[in-house]
Amino acid sequence: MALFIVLAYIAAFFGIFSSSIYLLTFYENKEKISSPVAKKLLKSSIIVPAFNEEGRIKRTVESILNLNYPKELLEIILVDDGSTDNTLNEMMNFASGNIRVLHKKNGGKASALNLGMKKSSGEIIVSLDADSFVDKDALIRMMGHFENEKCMAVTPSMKIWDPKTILQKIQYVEFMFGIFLRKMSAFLGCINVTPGPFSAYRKSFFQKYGGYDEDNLTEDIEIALRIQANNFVIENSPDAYSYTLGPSRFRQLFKQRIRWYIGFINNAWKYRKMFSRKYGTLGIFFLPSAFIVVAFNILLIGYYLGKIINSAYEGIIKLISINFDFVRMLSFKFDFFYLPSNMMMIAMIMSVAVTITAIYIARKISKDNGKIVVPFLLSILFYAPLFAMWWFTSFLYKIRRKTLKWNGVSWKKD
Amino acid sequence: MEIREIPRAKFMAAFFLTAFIFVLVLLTNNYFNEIRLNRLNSIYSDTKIDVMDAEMQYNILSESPCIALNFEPMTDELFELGNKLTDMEDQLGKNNKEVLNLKKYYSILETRQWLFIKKASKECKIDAKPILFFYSNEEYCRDCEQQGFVLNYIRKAYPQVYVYSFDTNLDISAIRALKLTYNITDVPSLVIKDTVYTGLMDADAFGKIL
Repeated sequence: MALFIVLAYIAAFFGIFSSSIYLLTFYENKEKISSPVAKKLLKSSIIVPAFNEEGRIKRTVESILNLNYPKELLEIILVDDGSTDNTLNEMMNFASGNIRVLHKKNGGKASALNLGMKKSSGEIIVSLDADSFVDKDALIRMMGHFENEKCMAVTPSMKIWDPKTILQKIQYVEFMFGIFLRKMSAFLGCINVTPGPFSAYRKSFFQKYGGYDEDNLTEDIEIALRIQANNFVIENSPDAYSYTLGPSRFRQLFKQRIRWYIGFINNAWKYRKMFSRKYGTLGIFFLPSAFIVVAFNILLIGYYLGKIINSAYEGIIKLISINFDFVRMLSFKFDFFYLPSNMMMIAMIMSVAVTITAIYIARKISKDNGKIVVPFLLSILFYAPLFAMWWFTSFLYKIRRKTLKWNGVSWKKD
Repeated sequence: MEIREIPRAKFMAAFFLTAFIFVLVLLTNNYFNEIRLNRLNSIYSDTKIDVMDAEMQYNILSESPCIALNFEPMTDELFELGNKLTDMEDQLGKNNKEVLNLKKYYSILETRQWLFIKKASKECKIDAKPILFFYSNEEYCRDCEQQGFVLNYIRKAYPQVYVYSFDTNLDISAIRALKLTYNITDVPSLVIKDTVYTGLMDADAFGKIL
């Protein structure tokens, strides 16, 4: 037990230290949060890979058509990755002018993106998942970053659209926190993923270093690491909003996270040479701390979960010994004396305070005004155990070499 | 090529900021614990006065019929002190010097009150049932913890029951004398109406004895 308390203190110290780095970065760059205005707009090809997205693709394409961007500089490529539903027919309804529809045998998202890229003519490649859509000013706001020749990709500000279920509300807060983290990570040079919903890339990078890795569970993490492994930069536009539908059910979310996390483990291993000072903040701070945070989280949540289960068991035994006459034991007398105040409790309050600050900043910089109180309380209660469980399962899957599927394609890689 | 690095100065600033926050947390925690210890001290001063007051009341009334004896304030306060001590023990650890001292004093107060109630109930024919509870927290004693819970219940279910808990590891002569008197060798042990019961006792078993 003493070991866990020491571990908890180290975790708290590390957590506050990391948060301080991000908050100091915000303080240092608060005047540079907005995206730079583009002097010149580049021709962009937006690729929408889709597998069985019937009923959702329409909104995605319509949001692209509404983009505030010169039509002559915009190309839209819809790629049907061997859907078995009506996705292709729905895509065909849009096929005209600058919108092209491609169809291929099912091969996974990366292969669909690569096909779209091959047929594209734009200088900038933008991916947009078929279950996501964009704000009309998203693309134009991202363009300014490409004036830096070293910038190979720009990520948007991703939000969960219309969170209804408890899990979606938790994801809404998680993504909001992500807006803050991603912008600060961009300043620090340690963005670890260029997400599917509306990340933009310089096509020349793909031409020189190859397209998306089709054998990868998380091609968006792989490409982000590859860009930085070649000493290029990824930027972020917190004012370029893209919206995605968060999984509403536990099983869907669980599968998504396991894929993400195993993908992260695989790619961290693939680019293990980047765990070095040579790769700046990403190598010396972000990648090692990602694993440290996960390890602390799993150990501590496991420990506290064990304690909770043990207390519940002890509680039941105690109730049996008084014939479940618990009403007599209820007491509502409030006394300040019994308020728990130990180091860990105060450290936890500080962590919540840091999270509130980060979410407040994220809401300001992404001009979000969605309801936050209930989702935030749900996140405080459930996010850490969920996060630990997803990571723990991912490591288990990895150790047991379990097969994962992504869009109908079986994956059994490294 | 463009590599972005966290400047050493920022690393240091973050480190010192974290260290500062930690020291602040430590000081805040100590401050709260100090307040609690002060409150404990004040509660046991009050309890001491109550016990003495009740003793004096008993002395004054000893020549007369015992109609005006009231145990409630002193037993309630002692019970509250016990709860708070348990909480402090959980927070500060069972080896904390101040907690240990308070616990010793608390045990002496308990012994004093137990003797008084025993004598008063006998002479004044009051239906008071004092119970002695011997436990240990040297090593984890699950039965002791559970017995404590059951005794809390019993105290609420039977208003005439007064529970006095003693940590058998405390080095004070009052506890040594009690252990010797009742031949306490194991925990949890209970002394009810001068009979010793060893091992965990549930609410039903208490019902039969009381």
